[in-house]
Amino acid sequence: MTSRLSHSFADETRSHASLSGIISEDADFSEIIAAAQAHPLTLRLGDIQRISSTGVREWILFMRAVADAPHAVTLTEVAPTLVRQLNMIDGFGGSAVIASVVLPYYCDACGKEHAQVLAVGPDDPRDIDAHRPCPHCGEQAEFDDLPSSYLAFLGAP
Amino acid sequence: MSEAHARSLVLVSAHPERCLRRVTEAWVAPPSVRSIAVEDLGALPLATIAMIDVDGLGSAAMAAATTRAQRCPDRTLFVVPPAGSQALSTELAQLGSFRHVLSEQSRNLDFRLTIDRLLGDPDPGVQAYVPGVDLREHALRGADDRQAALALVEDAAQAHSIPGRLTELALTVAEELVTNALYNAPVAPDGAPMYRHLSRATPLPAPVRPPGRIQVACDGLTLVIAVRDAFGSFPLERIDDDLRRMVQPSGHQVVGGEGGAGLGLVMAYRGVEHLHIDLVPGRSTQVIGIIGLQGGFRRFARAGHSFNLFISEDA
Repeated sequence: MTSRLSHSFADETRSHASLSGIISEDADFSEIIAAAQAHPLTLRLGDIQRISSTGVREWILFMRAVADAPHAVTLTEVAPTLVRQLNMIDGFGGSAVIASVVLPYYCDACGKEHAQVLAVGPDDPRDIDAHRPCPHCGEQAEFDDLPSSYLAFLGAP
Repeated sequence: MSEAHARSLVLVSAHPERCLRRVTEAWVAPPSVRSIAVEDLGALPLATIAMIDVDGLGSAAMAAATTRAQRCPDRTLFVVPPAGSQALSTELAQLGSFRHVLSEQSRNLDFRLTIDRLLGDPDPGVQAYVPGVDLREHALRGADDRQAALALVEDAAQAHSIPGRLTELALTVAEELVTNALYNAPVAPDGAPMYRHLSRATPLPAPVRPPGRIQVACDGLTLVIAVRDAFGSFPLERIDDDLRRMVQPSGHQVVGGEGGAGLGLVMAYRGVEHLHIDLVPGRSTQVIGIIGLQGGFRRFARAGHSFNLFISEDA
C-alpha cells in the first residue's frame, strides 16, 4: 500500500511534482519537502486513488513541514478522495494554495465515470455543472457528489 | 421484560405518520407501535424501545431525548434525516450518549434488522444483510493479510462493476477495519494492548491468535464488509466520546505518534451507509459495514449514515 511519486523540475524557478496511487502509513514526502525548500512547488494530485487514516496523518505532517518552507506550495487537480478529507479533517490543506480540484461525474446510461478539472482560485467562479455530456456514450452524466458541500473547504466566496 | 412491552415501539416524532409508515413498510407483521408526546418520555418504561425522530424536534425535546438516551442507551433509537442536514448531525453529536442511529433513508431490511435486535431477537449474522449471497472470507493473522483482505473487496468490485468512487470507499473501510483488527484489537491476557503502539508500516512480531476474519459479500445492489476479532477490546470507557467524534461532519483531528491516527472509526463510518458493531467485551468485536451500490456515489452522499452498537455478554 504505497504511494508513488514522480518528481521533475520544469525550470530553475519552479518545481513540478505529481503524486499518484494510495497515501498510507509508508508515504514518503521527503523529496517534495526538499523541493519546496528550493523553489515554489506545484503538486498535482489528480491520480490519488485513496488515502488511509495513517496516510492522513502523514499528509498533515507533510503540510506542516512545507508550511515552514521558504516557498509556496500549490496543489492542483486535487482528487475527490482528497477533497473529502479537506472537508472533514482540520488542517488537511495546511497553508498550501489550492488552485484546482477534480470534479467527478457519473453516467447512469453507461455506468462510466469521468472527471473535469475546476479552477478554484480566489477570482474563479467555482461553478459546478450539474450535468455534462458523457465522453463515453454522449448521454448526460451527472455531478457525482453534493454540489452544495463539495467545495465547503474553500469557505464562503 | 413484560409481554406487553416485549415487541412494542413508542414513537416520538414531529412526523408520527412518516415514522409509522416506515414501520409498516419494513415488516409484514410489524411490532405494535404507538406515539407519545416528548413530554411523556420520562414516564416511558425503560424496557420499551423509544424511536425518536430528531427531525423537527426543538431543543427542549432534544434535551428530553438526551436524558432518555443517557438512562437507557440500548433501548433508544434515533432516526435522523440524511447527511445533507449538517446541523442535525452536529446536534446528534451533542447527545450525551447514543447507541443506535438510523438514517431516515436506510434500507427497509436494515431498519427491520435493527428494530428486531432491539426488541430482543438474536444476532442474525452477516448473511442477513445480503440474503442469498455467498460470503467470501479470509483469516487475519498478520499485516500481509491486509492485501488479501482488500483483494476480496476488489474482486467483488470487479465482479459487479462497482463504480470507482464506491470501490474506493469500500477499500478504505476494509483497510481501516482490518488494520484495527490486527493492530488495535489484540490484547494480552492481562488486557494490555499488544500492538497499538506500532507503526502500521511495521509487520506484527507474531501472528494474531486467535486470528480475526474478514467476510465480504455483494449482490450488485449492496456490498457488505464484516471484520471480526477475537478480543473484544473496544475501550468501553471511551465509547461515548468516540461515538460523538464519529458523527461529527467535519473538524476531525489526527492523533500523533507511531500508532493509529485516531481516524479509523470516523473513516469507516463515513465510508458506509450503515455501520453495525457487535461487542462482547473480552471476547470479540464484529464490525459490519453496509454500502448501497445503486445510483453511484452521489446517492451515497445523500443517503446519510446509520449506526448500531450492541454490547452483550454472549458471542
